[in-house]
Amino acid sequence: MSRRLVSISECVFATLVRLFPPEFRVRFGDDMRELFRDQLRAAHDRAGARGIVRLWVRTLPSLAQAALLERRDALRPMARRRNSITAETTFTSRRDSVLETLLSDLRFAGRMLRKSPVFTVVAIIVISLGSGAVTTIFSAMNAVVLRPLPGTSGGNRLVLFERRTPDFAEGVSGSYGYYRHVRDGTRTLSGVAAWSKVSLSISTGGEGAAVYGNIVSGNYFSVLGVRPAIGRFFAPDEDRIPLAKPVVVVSHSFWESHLGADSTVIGRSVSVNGHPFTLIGVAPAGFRGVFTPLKTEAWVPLMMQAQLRPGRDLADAPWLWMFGRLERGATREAARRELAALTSTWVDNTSEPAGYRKYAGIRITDLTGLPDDARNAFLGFTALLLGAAGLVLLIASVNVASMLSARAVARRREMALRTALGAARGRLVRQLLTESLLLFLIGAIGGTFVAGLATAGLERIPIPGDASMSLELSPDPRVFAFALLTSVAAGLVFGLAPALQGVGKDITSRLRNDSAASSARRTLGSSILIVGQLALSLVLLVAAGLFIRALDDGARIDPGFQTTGVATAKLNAESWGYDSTKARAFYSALGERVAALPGVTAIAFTDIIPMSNSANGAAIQLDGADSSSGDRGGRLAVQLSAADPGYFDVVRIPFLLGRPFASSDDERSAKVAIVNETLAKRLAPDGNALGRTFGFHRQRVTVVGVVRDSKYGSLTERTPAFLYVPVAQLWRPDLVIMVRTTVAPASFAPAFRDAVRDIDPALPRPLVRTFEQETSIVLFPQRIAAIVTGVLGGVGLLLAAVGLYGIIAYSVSRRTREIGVRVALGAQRWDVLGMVVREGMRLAGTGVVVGVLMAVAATRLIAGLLFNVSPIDGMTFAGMSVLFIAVALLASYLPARRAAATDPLTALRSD
Amino acid sequence: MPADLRTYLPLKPVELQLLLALADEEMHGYGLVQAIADRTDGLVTLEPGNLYRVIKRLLGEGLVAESDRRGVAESEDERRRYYRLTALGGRVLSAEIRRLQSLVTSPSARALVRRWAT
Repeated sequence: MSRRLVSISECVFATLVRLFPPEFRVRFGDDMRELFRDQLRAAHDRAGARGIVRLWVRTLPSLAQAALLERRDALRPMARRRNSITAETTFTSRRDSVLETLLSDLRFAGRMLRKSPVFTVVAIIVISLGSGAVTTIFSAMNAVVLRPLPGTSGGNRLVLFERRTPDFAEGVSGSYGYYRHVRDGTRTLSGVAAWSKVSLSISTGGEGAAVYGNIVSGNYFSVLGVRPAIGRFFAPDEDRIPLAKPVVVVSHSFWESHLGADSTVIGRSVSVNGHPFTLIGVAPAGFRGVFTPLKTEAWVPLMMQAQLRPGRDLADAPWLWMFGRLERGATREAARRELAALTSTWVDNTSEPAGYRKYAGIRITDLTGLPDDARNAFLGFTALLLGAAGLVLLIASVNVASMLSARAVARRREMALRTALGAARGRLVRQLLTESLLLFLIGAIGGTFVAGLATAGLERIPIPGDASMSLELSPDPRVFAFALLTSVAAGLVFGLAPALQGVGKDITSRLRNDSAASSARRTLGSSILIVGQLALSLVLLVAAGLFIRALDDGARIDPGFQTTGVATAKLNAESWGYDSTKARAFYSALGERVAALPGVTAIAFTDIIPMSNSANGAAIQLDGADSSSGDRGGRLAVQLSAADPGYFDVVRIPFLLGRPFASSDDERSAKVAIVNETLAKRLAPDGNALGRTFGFHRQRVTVVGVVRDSKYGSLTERTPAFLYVPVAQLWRPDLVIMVRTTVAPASFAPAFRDAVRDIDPALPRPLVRTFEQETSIVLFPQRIAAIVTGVLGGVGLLLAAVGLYGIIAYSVSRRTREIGVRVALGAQRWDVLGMVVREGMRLAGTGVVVGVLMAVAATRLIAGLLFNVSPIDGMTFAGMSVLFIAVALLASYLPARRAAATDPLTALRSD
Repeated sequence: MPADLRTYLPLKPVELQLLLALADEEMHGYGLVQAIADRTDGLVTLEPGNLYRVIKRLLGEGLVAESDRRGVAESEDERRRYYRLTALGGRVLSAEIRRLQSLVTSPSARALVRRWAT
């Protein structure tokens, strides 16, 4: 945790150095950062997190002051002569005097804040929480899709492009020929690189490590502008001749975890997918490739494709993703037009399969860590969360505004006196505003730290799906700038009213401290502020409640198969360098061994796990093309999966008709398929689909079974026409084994891994996960949303409750005399208690009404994520209101108890 | 004392300490901060902002200069800049010390210390 504090401190400091004038920064900026880094390390080693906080408290004021003084000096054209009094005062330009005033305002503000440390600390904590909420979400948005890829340089000129249908609805990746055509033809891009995913198993002697790798064009790193941490990246001749140069680059983290961070490993031979490769370089720390949710651990050149992905003719197949770097002066639009023109000459002059001709358009977007479609989905989702976090900032700001306004009331005499002595009203307002802005600025720094810790927490939430999936969300200077901007905006909006209020026009009455009328106005004003805070926090609570309900509801939706009691493991035989014969032998040997393990009742091999974020699409040719069906030329889009005889026993999808696959359904026998209900209805709209045939991969396929519809991709999908074909007839080297077992996964996993090792000890250790873990991806957005809004709701409620407590306590303290009189006249403890609590409840009740109305309007925005839960779900609204009232009751009970204990004698004597 | 040196005096406490520290050996920023904190028992502390303001002023006046020496650092961009005392700096420093010496050894200062010493 404090490591994160160190890195954020460095980042915040680097941003603050920008306060200095440019010439100073150029000359001393690096040294200042270096010095601070040293101090930071020393402070961290000496006292951990507390040392860091102390260092900041010491550094911040002097840094701000030095920066302003330096800016002032920069405005004075002539060098000041040392120790000369006259020189100090002679050169005063307009900007100079503005800076002078700012300096003195800041000094005064700093003194005022130091004079009331409790107020200052509480206000800064409150702002830090609010600012931290929005900054955390922004940090996640920034890390995933907004900032240029870490490790690259000139990232704002990197663009991703993709062939799309003219309406952009569908896209396709590019073949190697297409890539070369574009790379050699473009003038608007200074470089075009291509990449694709590849499963690698890398061994440096002993057991191999299964990693996610990229197979890339030779210019991949140079187009990105990445420099190696050690060694080198691909040379031109490593990108020209197929299979001539087996070389590999590994990630910094792989180098640390598997190669002992040893810099002599460059040039050493390692085994990649069973073949000897030379390790030529290590990528810089932080560089994760161009698809950042997956941590890329190794890069190999495209020319090694035939060895790493054998048995595939990739000459014409579209399998590459492309990005490029814009030439200086070239616009995105110019690049798009040029690429579209290149694409149409490609389509016209080559024998590309007819199906690709429709992809004549080009979509061009910034290169960030996610492809375009995923980026938009991610931005939409995080924008919702940012909205929720914005509510917390709003609550925090209102909270501080009411503290400031209470303070303004307390300082009226001071302000009135200064006015009477001739201070201009504008000057006083500016002074008060400077104080609140200073608070919000310090709060922004606090918020950046909160965000640093909160994102560290978010990173720890495991992402279901691919095992190498992870996120790196840490804040950077851009995030800090965002925190500063939002905080300053909040400070201006919420600091102005209290400042104006503090410097009212009517001096005489304020000098006399006679305040009956204005105090009524103030009470009303602060009641509105508190009701606003309460209402907003209720909105957050309701949203959190709805997401929790949705999680529960989603978990109850019947997917049509049974996920409990099944272990799964992905086996990438291709990445082990296995050919098809060896892979088939391996799978049958593994099947036999696993079937014999204790507790195993059924096993299956398939290519994809249902509802785990992967799908295969294809088209089938319907018999006797039925024109009324609307399918062009009798073709029907389907999804499919490979299955084996045990598959339906493992996933427990029930048969409606026909039989499961048999081991005799192999590559030599007649092609068969099992279809789901939806596809059965399409094949035989009014009868039995069994025995029907259709065309698939230019072969006749006969339906031998019909199974019940289930979920395939997501819980809310429209059921697709789905087709199962025997694994043996749709051979793929990479398979998933699914095992229904009665023993717990924890004890099954080691036995399974032993079985794999018995067959081939050199294989990387497979990752065993439960079916439930794999499918939990479908509820992942709801889970994240529930966690985030839950935390935000908790913080919001806490702030609002503290605000409520504050206002009730304040009112009790003002009414001490009145309460004393009441007690003296015979009021009972309960009467006083009731009177005060009623006051709190009146505010809370209004808060509930306003909050419920606001929530009804707001929760419609999240309806799409709630499955069958209504966005105005009565139970959630009622439950959260009750929770809310309970907290409000506590917040007003505490001051009430104190009021009830009032001793009439002391109360009457006071004031 | 030559007249031209007088224009530099008196030195501010921070400047005096900084020049004194550099009189012993060439130092980089963090070394200076630590040396000065040690010498003054924590009475004079320097933060990144004001340290480099002082250094900038002293560089401008020619009392210190950047040293050719570069520290052995862990990586390329962690090259620390070292500073050294110039000849002028040495003269100003000794003039200041002489000035302080005559101050503390003056009869009235001695009398004062004798009277108020604890």
